[in-house]
Amino acid sequence: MKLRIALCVKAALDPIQPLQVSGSPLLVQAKDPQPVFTISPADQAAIKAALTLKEDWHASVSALSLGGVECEDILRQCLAIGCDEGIHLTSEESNHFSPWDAARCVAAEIAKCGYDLVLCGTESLDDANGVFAPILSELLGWPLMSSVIELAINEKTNCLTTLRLVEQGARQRVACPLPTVVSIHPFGFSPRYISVLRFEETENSLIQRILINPEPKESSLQIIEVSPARLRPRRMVVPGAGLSAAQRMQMMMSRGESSKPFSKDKIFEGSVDAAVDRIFDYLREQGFL
Amino acid sequence: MAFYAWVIAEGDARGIRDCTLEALGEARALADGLAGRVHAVLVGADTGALAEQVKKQDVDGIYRLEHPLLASHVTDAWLVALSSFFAQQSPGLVLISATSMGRDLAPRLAVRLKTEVVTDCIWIKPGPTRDIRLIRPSHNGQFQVTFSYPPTGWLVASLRPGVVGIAPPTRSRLPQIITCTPELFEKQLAVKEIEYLPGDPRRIQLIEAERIVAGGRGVKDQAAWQAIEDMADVLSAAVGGSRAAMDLGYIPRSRMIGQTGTAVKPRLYLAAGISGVTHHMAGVEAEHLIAVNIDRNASIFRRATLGIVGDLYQILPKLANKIRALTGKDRKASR
Repeated sequence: MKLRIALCVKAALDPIQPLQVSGSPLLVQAKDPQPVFTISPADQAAIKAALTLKEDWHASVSALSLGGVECEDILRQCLAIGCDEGIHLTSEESNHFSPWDAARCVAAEIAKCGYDLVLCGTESLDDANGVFAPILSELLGWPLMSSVIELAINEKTNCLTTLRLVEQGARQRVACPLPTVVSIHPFGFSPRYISVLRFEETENSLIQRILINPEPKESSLQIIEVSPARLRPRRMVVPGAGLSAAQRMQMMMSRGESSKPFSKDKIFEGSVDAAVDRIFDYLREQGFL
Repeated sequence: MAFYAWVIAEGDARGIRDCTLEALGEARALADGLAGRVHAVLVGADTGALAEQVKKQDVDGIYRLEHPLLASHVTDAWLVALSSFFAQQSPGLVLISATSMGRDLAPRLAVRLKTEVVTDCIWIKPGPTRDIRLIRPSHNGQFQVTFSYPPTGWLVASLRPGVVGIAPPTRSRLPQIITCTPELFEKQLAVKEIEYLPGDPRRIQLIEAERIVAGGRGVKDQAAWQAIEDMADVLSAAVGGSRAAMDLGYIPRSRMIGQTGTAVKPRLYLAAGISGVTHHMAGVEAEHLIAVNIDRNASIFRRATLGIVGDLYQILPKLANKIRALTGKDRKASR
């Protein structure tokens, strides 16, 4: 049986263009009346992963995008890269969806169409919540494999085996039966570029448009402010009493790194053996050995 | 109604992870502002050693969820154990670090607790109306979004590691430790761990490395660069370098650290023969920076947590031998 893949792609507001906060509810929008939308690196990796499966396992890939008219351009790019069909989920009322609402709308569509595998990026370039795939997996009741950098399907057992990225360079190989939700990490799959010829060919391709009427989830969580980013001061040990007021201030402003040039207890000068012992002891004290 | 902050603690054989200590500190500050309590939740097959560490922190209670199936770091097992545990507890803020486990767990736990989730927070604090204020970055870090949530029901949040910083606990409350065994069955876990591959420091990306040994212009030739690589081997560290090291051909561009290279954030950064110009140091944010340089006026000493004025050709081989004698580690021989 042919494997059916749903590929979730978001039309993300390109953060390189000038942005501003406006509207109610508060939203980050482009200053230019014609904003530039793009496919996030993680979504591009997901497209590549889907197309790899399509070529290796003769799967069919349906690209899904939720939002306004900007999604059509994104879906056309997906078709030009090699996806089989484009599905645009849109609403006549508002096309700004919270991750919860987005996951609910997509989950309903996926459940209706009977896919075997859902691929999406780990997080988008704009909001970067990284919650879409986990919420989708819970709503569908399917297992989740996140931060995937390699994937393969065992046809006999109908199992998906993936290599996941975990902390500090470690990797985890996991397996689970289909259907499943997989979020792809950009480390694993380099994006595939579109040829101009292919893009022209798909310019007039038909994109399936599905009207949805989501009922927004009632929530006590309110956005009260969207502002330019500010650094938060890090917690740290209080500067020593031996420092002057200026040095204390400097230490706090530099996130704990005093600009006091050569603190005697930090700088060691001596014989080679003594220097080796000093580093060795320091490494042991700090738990590196 | 009392406010509760539940911190899901992560740790390994080396102990409680720093990101968990950050989360505990953030939860304490929030709970103090809302006159609430902080509880740590430890998940694993045997969490005894971790509980002893958490006990020294400023927490009111420690819950140990122990089950043999929780030994592997598969989110499904943690999710089942935690969702059934929280179903029996007083509602509050569930806080976890935005690690690979936390990024998976937080949204899924929120769905099971039928509540909201705010991920990758950089600041969680009490608001003026006794609400919880959560701040998270968006749009590539250009903006920050402030959320407000009344501290009455459940809310799940994840905290970005390395932003908050660790402060020593102000006091120890001698918390009560409660051990629970969650009902967990093999059939509940769809995702199975096949193997866990620890990171090879030589191959991992610098951005992921916990330890880095880096060299610069002070390393005179390729043979001398060997001392840097040997040091990295015995410390299980990744090898990096300054632009000078790349220009001299010791490292590829992917291993260059600095403003125009890779920005790194390791726990340990051993800089040998690096003067520490601004362009290099702009890409370094290390918890422990050991600098070895022959020039006592090198600017890297201003940032170093330990500065050694000396010849790296003499110091590094001796240090490597001493560490090797202690750990018996010769990764080259084992490869």
